[in-house]
Amino acid sequence: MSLWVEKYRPNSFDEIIGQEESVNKLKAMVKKGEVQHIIMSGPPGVGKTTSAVVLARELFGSVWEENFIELNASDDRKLSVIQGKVKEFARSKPISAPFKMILFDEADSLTSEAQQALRRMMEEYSATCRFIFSVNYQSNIIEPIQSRCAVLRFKPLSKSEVVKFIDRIAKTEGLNIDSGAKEALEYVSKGDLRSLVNTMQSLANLSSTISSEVVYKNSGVLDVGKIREGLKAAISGDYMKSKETFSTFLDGGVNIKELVSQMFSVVASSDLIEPNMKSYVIEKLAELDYRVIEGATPFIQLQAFLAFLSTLKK
Amino acid sequence: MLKLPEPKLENFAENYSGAITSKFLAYLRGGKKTFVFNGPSGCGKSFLAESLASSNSLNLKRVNLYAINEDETDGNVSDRIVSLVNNAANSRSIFDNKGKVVYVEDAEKIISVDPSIFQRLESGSSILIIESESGDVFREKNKRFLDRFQMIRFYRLKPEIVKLYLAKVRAMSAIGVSDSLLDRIAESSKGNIMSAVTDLNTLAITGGTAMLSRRNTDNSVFERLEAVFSGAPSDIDMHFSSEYEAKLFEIWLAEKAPTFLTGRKLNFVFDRLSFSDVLLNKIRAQRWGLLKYVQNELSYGVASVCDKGSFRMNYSAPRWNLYYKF
Repeated sequence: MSLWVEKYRPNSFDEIIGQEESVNKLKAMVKKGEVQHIIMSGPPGVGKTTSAVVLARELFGSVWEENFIELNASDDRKLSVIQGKVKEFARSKPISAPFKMILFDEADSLTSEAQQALRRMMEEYSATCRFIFSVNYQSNIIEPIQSRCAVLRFKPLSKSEVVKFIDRIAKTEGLNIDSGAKEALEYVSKGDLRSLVNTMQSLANLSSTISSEVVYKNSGVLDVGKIREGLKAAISGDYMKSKETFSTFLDGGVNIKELVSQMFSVVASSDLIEPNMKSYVIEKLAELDYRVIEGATPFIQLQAFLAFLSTLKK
Repeated sequence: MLKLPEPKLENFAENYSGAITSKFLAYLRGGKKTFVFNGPSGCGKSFLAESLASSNSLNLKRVNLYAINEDETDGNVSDRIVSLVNNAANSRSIFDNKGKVVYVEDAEKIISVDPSIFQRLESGSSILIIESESGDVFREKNKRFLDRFQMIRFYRLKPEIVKLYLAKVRAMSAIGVSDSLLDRIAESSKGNIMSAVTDLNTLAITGGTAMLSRRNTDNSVFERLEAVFSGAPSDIDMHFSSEYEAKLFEIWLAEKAPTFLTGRKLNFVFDRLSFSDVLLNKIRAQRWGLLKYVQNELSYGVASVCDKGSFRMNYSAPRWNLYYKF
């Protein structure tokens, strides 16, 4: 049985969902046979790595694997290792192509020292080699490298694009997914197609009918219904009830950061809180998040937030 | 590929004609041989070094200190740095008796190892230039090791200077790109000539006009403003890809809000703005999880005091330099 992630990974530019602007630029580069150094920035699972691989395939044809390497975060990110690998690869002549390509996947994790060294290598090997960096946040790349690269932005996928993709898989695999489950899938995957496909495959192994409860239960995402309930209780002034609800999360070993980030998506995406109060609540949540990162006691910070919520009742 | 102006002193781009070059040349004529070039990335530091070498038929030797492989130095990095630089400056080729310009990248590396290394560097008969991109060289504890070095400061280029340079490249490479596009590239380059040239190259390769998105922000800022000021932020995706972009949006909001909000509403908006600004600064320490709060503060915070459909877009851009110092 094959992995769906590989099965549904696009093999050509036209199969890449969304991202018209970036894909059009890449297409133009292929057409002209001229490729710059590139930074691809965007959230996970929207097609950055895939685009780089497709670019290599379209450029180099059948010899693409000889002219393309991918260094990702699981490889050793020590400077000497990077230097060794890049030099070994970049030194030899490209095989029936004008240049080679190196992809640094998850380049956010490159230290700035390593990036400084890379900057020099980029100049040294610019005749034979193109560098591609895939990052979540553009700011994690030092400015001298940014300025040498064309910046391609990958946008988060819209709900309708994700749903279209779900439909496509459901049709090929003969799955039965109702609209509530689609929404649930969209919610737990947060626009990340890789995690979406993985979730769908593991759920399809259980049953060919997928419901929203199953999605939430198996996704590792916290029970949104319960979070909603807890928040609702706090907003209606019932502090004790909401404290109980959230205590069960913490007692069950849930990480406070995960809990806060789920509370955030509930607050931001639902109408639980009146629009004109929303920004105050988000401010409090942001403070809670920040203080916990700084080392404050989660239990106290969380209660302070719930106590604040219970003052909102008119 | 684009054709770029050759590294010649007369091709050096600077804000006030001759301000940097004449100072530099005067020190050289006075016999000074050791320099620190300080300034942000992409404002011509290494171009000036190349120009000096080619205009006086000297060899340029670059030394990259980050390339030092720390495994092979037996832990003694400072000796390795000193010997790398001094060898580069003092060795002579038997085939070639030209003088040399030694260009050492990144004073920051030296400072991070041991600032007293600066005193052990010998220029010999060569010209020794050390590049520095941060303000660390001005700190008192580092500065005292640098008294032999002449500081040459470089500044971010003004957009009009970047544009002039781009126009030159356009003419040399014979590519058809309109003036207004050059303006946009120059403006979004933040005074970094390298990124401006990269963007022009992208444009030359892809050949599109509509396909140009700005380097540091996408062009949906108007859509975003429209969405938050018309009270419907959920209509638009508020994803930021860098803190710079979030900051840019803050500035737009700060510029536009007073034009049609007053009193308590305006106060409220600025309250939200200043909070997200504080959060943004906390992100500097790599706490990217906080960015989502900034996005939501900026959207819901502003939208909640705005009435649906009351907003009329005014397309004038904020005056950058009033708000944001590079």
